Amino acid sequence: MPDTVLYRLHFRSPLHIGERGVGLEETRTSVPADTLFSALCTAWRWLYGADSLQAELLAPFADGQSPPFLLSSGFPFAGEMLFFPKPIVSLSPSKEEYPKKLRAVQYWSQSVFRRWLQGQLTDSDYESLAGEEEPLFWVLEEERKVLDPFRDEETGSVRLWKEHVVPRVTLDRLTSASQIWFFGQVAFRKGAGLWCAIRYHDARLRSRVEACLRLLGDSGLGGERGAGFGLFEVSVLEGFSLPEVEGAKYMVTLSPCCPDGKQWSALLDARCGYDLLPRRGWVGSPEGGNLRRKTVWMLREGSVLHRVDGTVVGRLVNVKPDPCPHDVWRYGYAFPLGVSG
Amino acid sequence: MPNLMLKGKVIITGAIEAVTGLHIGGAAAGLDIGGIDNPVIRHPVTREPYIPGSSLRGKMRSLLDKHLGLEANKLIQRWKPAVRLHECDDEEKYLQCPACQIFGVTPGDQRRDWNRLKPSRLIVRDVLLSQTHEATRRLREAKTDLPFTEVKWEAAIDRITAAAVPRQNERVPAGAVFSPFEMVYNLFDLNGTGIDNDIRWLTHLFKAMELLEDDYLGGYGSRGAGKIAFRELKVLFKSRAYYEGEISEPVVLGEGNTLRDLNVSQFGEKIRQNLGD
Ligand SMILES: [Zn+2]
Repeated sequence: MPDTVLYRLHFRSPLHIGERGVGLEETRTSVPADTLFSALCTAWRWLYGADSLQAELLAPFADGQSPPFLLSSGFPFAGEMLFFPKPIVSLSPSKEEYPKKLRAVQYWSQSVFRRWLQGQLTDSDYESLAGEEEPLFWVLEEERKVLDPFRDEETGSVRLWKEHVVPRVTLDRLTSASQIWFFGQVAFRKGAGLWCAIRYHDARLRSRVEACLRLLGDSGLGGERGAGFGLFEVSVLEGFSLPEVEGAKYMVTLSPCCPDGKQWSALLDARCGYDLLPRRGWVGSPEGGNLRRKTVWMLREGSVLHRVDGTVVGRLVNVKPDPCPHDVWRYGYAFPLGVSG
Repeated sequence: MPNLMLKGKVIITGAIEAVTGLHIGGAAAGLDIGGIDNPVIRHPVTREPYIPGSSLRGKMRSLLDKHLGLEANKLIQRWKPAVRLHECDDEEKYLQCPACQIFGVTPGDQRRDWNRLKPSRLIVRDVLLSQTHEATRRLREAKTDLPFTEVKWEAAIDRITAAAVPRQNERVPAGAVFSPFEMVYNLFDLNGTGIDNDIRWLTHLFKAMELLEDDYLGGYGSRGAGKIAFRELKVLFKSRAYYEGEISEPVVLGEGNTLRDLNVSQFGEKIRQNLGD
């Protein structure tokens, strides 16, 4: 059984995850695994050099069948409570569609998620949502106490972060023209942040991956790093194992994934469900700067897929734009958790 | 492909005290009109004045350029006041130029074929008004004209009619404290050539901080505004061994309430002892 380690990122400055562009930005309150992986690659390159990045990290991932580790996206936590992405479909014979109340919900608590994985969500669990106005989180009655320190004094609803859309001005150095652009920033409250999981198939990589995570904490994750955004401390979350149903027929992914053409047909049946997520952005290397990388569509976190034993779902995708002198890899492996259904 | 590796980070933290009133203009943004001719730049979320890292960085660079007698050959801002900076055009000179090494050069046409070009060593973060300092509480309670600032009326003389034209200037009052401030100086090894020079240039960074204390930040320096002082300084070194978890705490290179209290000349030796590889 591979070793799964959970990490908590405690942010000490606001975080901006998204793309820079014209107009208002969608603010993400999670960090997709491919963004995390790219940041890890950058840190790896700083600490161990470009040759090591290529040979020891990217090459094993690129071969497709034996990725040395799998990485989940970063999801919110509050104290000891972890949140998971809402699964795209219910898989429950009695509740094919989620109740209306669940529409605005983005994250499920660990207990809700565990029950769902085991096929044990009951009608009374659904009723625990009744009292709240458009809740963002679904937590069970017995978990509510844990979240009391994170409730908004006025509305009583759980607030783990503050979101703002902030303007920033860039002055063109040559023409002196000013350009205003907007970006969303997320500031987590004390005691809240993002967690992610890494499932190590090759345990030898762990110490170096953790060094990269610590370095990232001092360099920043996401946008506007030069101004101090996205700084964090890392801690290993001891004594928590991810809920998972062994030998299940279905799985839910905790990372955006990009199956190749051959995998598609085996992954889907009538009960599966997925959302597509465009992943775009810029090439982040010194040699390939200022190029927009190719857009790739991935299955969003929370997508429910058919499980095929012994197959690793997803791949590294080459999103190299034509003029770029080197390949540009984007992480697209699923982080599967077995779900009964 | 050039092989660039990070050998460690020197992290300088502390506070910045406004010894005299401070005016860092927000006019260019046009976002803070509110009736003031010359508003200060304000943080978009908190609405409190702050010091953009780019202002600190740019001022330290131009002062170091002058101090080293380097030619200001590059115009980076055309409108008044025009800003000129020095940037080496010759690779051999660049390799020995503390200003270009610390603050970086733009990889323009003539530098494209340089193969010993390193990224800029220095990151300077935005500095917000201290949330914990006594000075901020006093500012919050003081009945200033605008939150955390005072408005000064000044007479500007119209050059054509010679008439005095009253103008408003917004300033952060003397005594305000901005904290935490943080600068990160990366030690890079390029193709195995070592980091001796990067360590040597670190002393120039502290020189630039000293020059800034003796000069001014923001506008109206000739009328006494913009004098600042670095306070509560702490200089840490984080090696690769630190990030790998072999050393649990960063090495403290120096600590003190003023720049004079730091023993900068010994930083290099301490870094070498603690490189951990
Ligand atoms: Zn130079």
